[in-house]
Amino acid sequence: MPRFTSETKARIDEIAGRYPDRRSALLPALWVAQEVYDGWLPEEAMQEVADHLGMSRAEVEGVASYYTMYNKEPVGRHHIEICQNISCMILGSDDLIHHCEHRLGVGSGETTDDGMFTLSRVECLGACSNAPAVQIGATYHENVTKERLDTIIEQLKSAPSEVAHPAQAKMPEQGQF
Amino acid sequence: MSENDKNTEIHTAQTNTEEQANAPKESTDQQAAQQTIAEAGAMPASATTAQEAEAAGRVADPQPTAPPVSSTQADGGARTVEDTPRSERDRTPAEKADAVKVQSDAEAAKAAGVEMTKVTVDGVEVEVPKGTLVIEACFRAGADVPYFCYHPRLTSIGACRMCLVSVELEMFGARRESIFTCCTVPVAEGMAIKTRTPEVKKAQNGMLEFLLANHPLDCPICDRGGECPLQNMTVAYGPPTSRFIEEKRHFPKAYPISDYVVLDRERCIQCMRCTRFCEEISGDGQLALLNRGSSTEIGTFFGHDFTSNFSGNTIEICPVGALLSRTYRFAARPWEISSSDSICSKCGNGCNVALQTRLGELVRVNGRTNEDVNEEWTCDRGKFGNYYVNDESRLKHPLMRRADGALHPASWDEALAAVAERITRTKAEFGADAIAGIGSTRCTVEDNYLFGKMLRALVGTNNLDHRMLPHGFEPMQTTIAEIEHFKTIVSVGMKLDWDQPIVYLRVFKAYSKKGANWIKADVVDNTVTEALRAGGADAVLLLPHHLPQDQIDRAKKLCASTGAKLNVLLPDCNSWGAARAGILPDRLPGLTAFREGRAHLDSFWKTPLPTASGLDSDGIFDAVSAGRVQMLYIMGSDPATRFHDTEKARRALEAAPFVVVQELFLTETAKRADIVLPAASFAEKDGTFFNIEGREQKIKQAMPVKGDARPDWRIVADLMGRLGTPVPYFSARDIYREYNRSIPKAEAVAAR
Amino acid sequence: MHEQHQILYKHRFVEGIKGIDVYRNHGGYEAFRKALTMTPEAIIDEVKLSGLRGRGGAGFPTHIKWASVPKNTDQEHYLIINADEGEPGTAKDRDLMNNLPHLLVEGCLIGMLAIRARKCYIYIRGEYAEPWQNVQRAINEAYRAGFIGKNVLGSGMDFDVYTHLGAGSYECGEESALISSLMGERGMPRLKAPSAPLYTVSGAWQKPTPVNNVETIATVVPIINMGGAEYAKIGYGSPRSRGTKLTSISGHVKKPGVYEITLGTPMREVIYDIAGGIRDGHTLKTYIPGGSSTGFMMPEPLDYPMDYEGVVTAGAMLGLGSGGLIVMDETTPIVPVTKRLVDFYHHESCGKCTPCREGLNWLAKIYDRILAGGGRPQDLDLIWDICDNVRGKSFCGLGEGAIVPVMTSIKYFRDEYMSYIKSGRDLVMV
Ligand SMILES: Cc1cc2nc3c(=O)[nH]c(=O)nc-3n(C[C@H](O)[C@H](O)[C@H](O)COP(=O)(O)O)c2cc1C
Ligand code: SF4
Ligand code: FES
Repeated sequence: MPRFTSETKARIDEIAGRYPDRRSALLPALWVAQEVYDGWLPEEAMQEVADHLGMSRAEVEGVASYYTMYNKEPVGRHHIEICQNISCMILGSDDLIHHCEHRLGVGSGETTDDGMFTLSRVECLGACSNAPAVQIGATYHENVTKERLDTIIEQLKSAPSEVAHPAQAKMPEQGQF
Repeated sequence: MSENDKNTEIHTAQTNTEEQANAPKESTDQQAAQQTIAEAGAMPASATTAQEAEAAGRVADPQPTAPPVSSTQADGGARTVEDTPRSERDRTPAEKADAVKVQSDAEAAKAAGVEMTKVTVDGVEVEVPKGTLVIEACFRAGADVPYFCYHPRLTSIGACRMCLVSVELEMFGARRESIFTCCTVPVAEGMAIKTRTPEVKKAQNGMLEFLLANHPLDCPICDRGGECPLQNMTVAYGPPTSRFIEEKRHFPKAYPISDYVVLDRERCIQCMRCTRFCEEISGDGQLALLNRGSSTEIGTFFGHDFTSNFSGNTIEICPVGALLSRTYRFAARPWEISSSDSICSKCGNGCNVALQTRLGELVRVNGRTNEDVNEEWTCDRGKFGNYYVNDESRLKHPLMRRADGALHPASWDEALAAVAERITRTKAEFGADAIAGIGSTRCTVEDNYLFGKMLRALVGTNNLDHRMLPHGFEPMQTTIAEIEHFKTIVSVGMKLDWDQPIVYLRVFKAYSKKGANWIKADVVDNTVTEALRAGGADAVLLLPHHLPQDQIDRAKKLCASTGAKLNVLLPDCNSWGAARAGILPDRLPGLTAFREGRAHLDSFWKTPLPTASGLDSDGIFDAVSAGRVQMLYIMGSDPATRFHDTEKARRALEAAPFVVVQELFLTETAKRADIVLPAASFAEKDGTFFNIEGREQKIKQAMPVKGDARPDWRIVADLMGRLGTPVPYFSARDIYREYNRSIPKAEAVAAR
Repeated sequence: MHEQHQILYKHRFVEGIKGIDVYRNHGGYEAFRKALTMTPEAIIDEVKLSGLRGRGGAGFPTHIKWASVPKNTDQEHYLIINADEGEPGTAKDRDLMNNLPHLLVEGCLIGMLAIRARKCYIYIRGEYAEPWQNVQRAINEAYRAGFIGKNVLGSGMDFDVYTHLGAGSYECGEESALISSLMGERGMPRLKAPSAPLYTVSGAWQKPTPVNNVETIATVVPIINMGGAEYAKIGYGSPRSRGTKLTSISGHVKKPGVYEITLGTPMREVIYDIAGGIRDGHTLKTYIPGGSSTGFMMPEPLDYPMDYEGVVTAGAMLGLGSGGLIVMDETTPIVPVTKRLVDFYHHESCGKCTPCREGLNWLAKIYDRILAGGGRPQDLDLIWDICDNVRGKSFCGLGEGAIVPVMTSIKYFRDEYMSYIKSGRDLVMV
């Protein structure tokens, strides 16, 4: 079942208008698709993007599979991404990850049975001077300790979903002035 | 009979005016040169880094003050740089041809006054057109450079890093030497290229060690084994041992991605030749790189079928056994194969192919290079559709309808005697015009010529045709290769990539690389008119031959008024040849009109020919049903399924008192015959095809004839002996020579 | 202690500086107004005088990059801003975009004037949702205020600034891979057109598209304000390293953070004064001067000037990098840390070129084996030789940068490797 509404398409068309050629809108279009498809990109999502941008489907899959932030599998309501790179590592991110794995009862890259949390290890988040850093949805949490992480997880249980990249969903106005 | 005259109206091939003929040609060289420039890579990454560093005042070569490194490389003193085997023999025929192309292009360019650049390669001085890639300069100088991702027809990407050479160049006032990939760098004046320094050797060793690290090395069961560039480059340039002791990367093996192609991702070296082919040459983009880093693999969209009509080419350009042909898989080892140069029998584009056989069976069809026709590509119909020659259901013995009404095997002698007897009897009882012949657009020129000669000279009838449509002929006004130079291309009523695959590739090239406008339409309508008006003399119109005659007429007028070129594209491998061999009720060999040709043929064939035009295929079938034609002789044609009015054809076949059919298979037509004579396929005989452009191309026998079948011309020749001609024919070559002489001088315009 | 000039960060801590009103009250968009009265050549001349060099990692002189954009071209061309910041240890562009988004936007406008472009794309890494929102908000405000849009400030010129969000790939920070990614392709580096050795002649969409780092372009604003010559006076080290550098200091220091450091400040002062020194009870073991690709360095020498030339003379394999100083004390286990970096580069390698794709895959496997207790003494030479086979042969800087931490770790910490190989553990017990 196609999920792109005329509004979705209009949004992509508006973005496409910012570039000299249409296919350049592929990355933003995939963001939009990920939002429309509940936070991940199933085959149909890529198909719709390919059709709408007039590109080969395989190429769309090639691009989507290149970037780590396009989810190729469904993710939980909250996607907890813990930085494991050098600055965070030397300040204990491994402990943080293990703690989180215990607490949620899942391994890295897995989703809890209730679909609430997906836990991932990620590479440098660019928050090195406030390491260790954790990204949940679009929000950065810095100087994270186990205790703070516990509190955050508790709060998230009752928070609204952040599966789609929320930033994309809240795409601010652009260029029409 | 004037009706027939109209039907077979022949338009003499309109020779281009001098300017037109020269214009695209002259620019070709320049364009080619420019294209190489445009497609080539740029400054090598390392050079730029050095350049940036220089400009930034940074220390350019940050040699780490290294801890002592003992050479753990188990070199074993095995090989030195000097006795490295040359890779010339490792290149595929297509690649060798490309090297030659590089050479001749360069010479032509120089002759045409293209600016040249002087460089030295391992001390040998060469002059190449400005903008030539260093790798091509190396080939021109006779030096060898190993490579995987480079392909002369694809955009250079510098991905495999195999073609590293050392280049000394004046830069920022100082002479610097650095290593870079020569497939991405154009030559610069005074470059000193070195392909065999110790650093280069180490780099080559290193790259091959990397490439083999995760390669499964399952060469014994790999179809590519024995003709694998990776294998060959390893022999020539690789380290003798690998230091890789870790677990190799694993992917599912032998994963079918279509009916024709199977993918082995473990063997893939990510050279992107296949994906670039799909993007740049065939334009369907069905193969793409997926994932990234060391998980990079190629694949189709979520494993869907690779439906491109050009998928087979990716098998040929894959430098390893990652993309394999499902029809060839485990069929042969390359060294068991014998290969014959031939022409594909599946359509009129006339791709140059190599028919490769093992133990008398066709096992593989590979493309051959012909820059004027298919460059080096083939379509899947050609690559995978020619296996019919192996088919067990091929006719292996003559068949005769016996008293029980069924077809039964017979000896050649019995069958041919019966045919000859029937011809003589029919002629005596009903006159020569009671016999009619249908020739074939899939038989060779020789087959058709002799068939026509038999019917005209020995039987004495002009009731002779080969057409399945009631259409005239419109020679192409450009060659296939010229199509890529047009600015506006209009194609009507075709799925071009399936109906005229090689023409499609040219059109796509014009469209994607040269910015041509490509307009597709279903019929010759106003859009077409407008596009042609706007395009003027820079436009070309492509029509399929099967379009209604009035559409073709309209297009003709339109092109005449706008100056656009008109190409009506014929369907079969020898559509033009059948016509040129004179298998028409009112034309003689060379498409000569009766008026001009008869006198010549009367004396050449030493028989007075029938004077009036005969019946065309429609007329023949009508006449059979009306009882005026008593005997139908059909060579290599299947009107029961292919005639524009199959009902009419079938009615006639049922009604005809006697039908002779020469065929490969028991077709619907053959089933209705009284005598069926088994014919040899195109792979089993020599001969000539004229492709859609009218280009004369030779086919060669690649395998022994199946069963008792015989080449069509031989069957006809035998019959001619029985009908009283004393001249024996021994080879297709004899017949072709005779065919050429049968055309009156004035009309003997050589096939294009 | 050397004075730390606050050029970019002058108003960093002003309440509300994110908003256009406060920003303008503090002299915002004055540089742009001034630039509007200057010719493109004059702007480039000021930048030349200032000695500004790229702050994204390569240190390429900005005026050369801009001057190589063909003049008199009628064709559209574009300015591209690299806000992909992915180099481990580097967090300075994020800080700038979050807190001074208008500085970036103003810089973009001046950059466009200098190269005669009318459109600018800011390529922001996908993870940076917050900086992206801040920048986009600033762009929207600037549109409304008439600094971007049609007929800007009555100049007759139309400007557009767009943001483009990445989607998770470090390689997209490499300028040609960034161009690929901007064009909706896989983030793989691309060749330059042979006739045009710089992307400033033929880059994205085959148009001239110089790529500038966020900090670089922001620095143009104070340069125009104060004049290039004045800016060039700032700096304590090499005459070729002028101005200030945003540096994110992370790791085992008392005061990690993003600081604006005057180029040429001695490294010892940076670590011990600005960052407050090593956390209590510990000593400096090693540090990485400018993002992981610049490799490990030893506590001695430490009194060299922190600038483009200084680090190289102190023995860094790859210059100053992007300004991500990672400080490690003696508790840091070098082998696992190096393995982490190898895994990082392996994960981020685009897979286009053989040495990077296969070499890093191989290295990762060797490190796995060593850490699992299966190391062999000859592995160190093997690793070194693999690095050597990658070096200078990979397509882009990723492969080149990946091997630097590996080689320097072996160079300086061979003993730790040997202890791992012998006993399966590091000298440091963590
Ligand atoms: C692998 C790799 C990653 C890079 N990542 C970044 C980055 O995240 N941000 C950045 O500004 N430059 C990065 N660069 C440097 C850019 O290629 C380029 O030099 C820079 O954007 C130029 O801008 P500048 O001249 O203003 O420094 C990277 C380079 C490489 C080789
Ligand atoms: S399948 Fe073959 S052609 Fe395609 S990338 Fe792999 S090695 Fe290259
Ligand atoms: S090619 Fe991917 S890192 Fe260089």
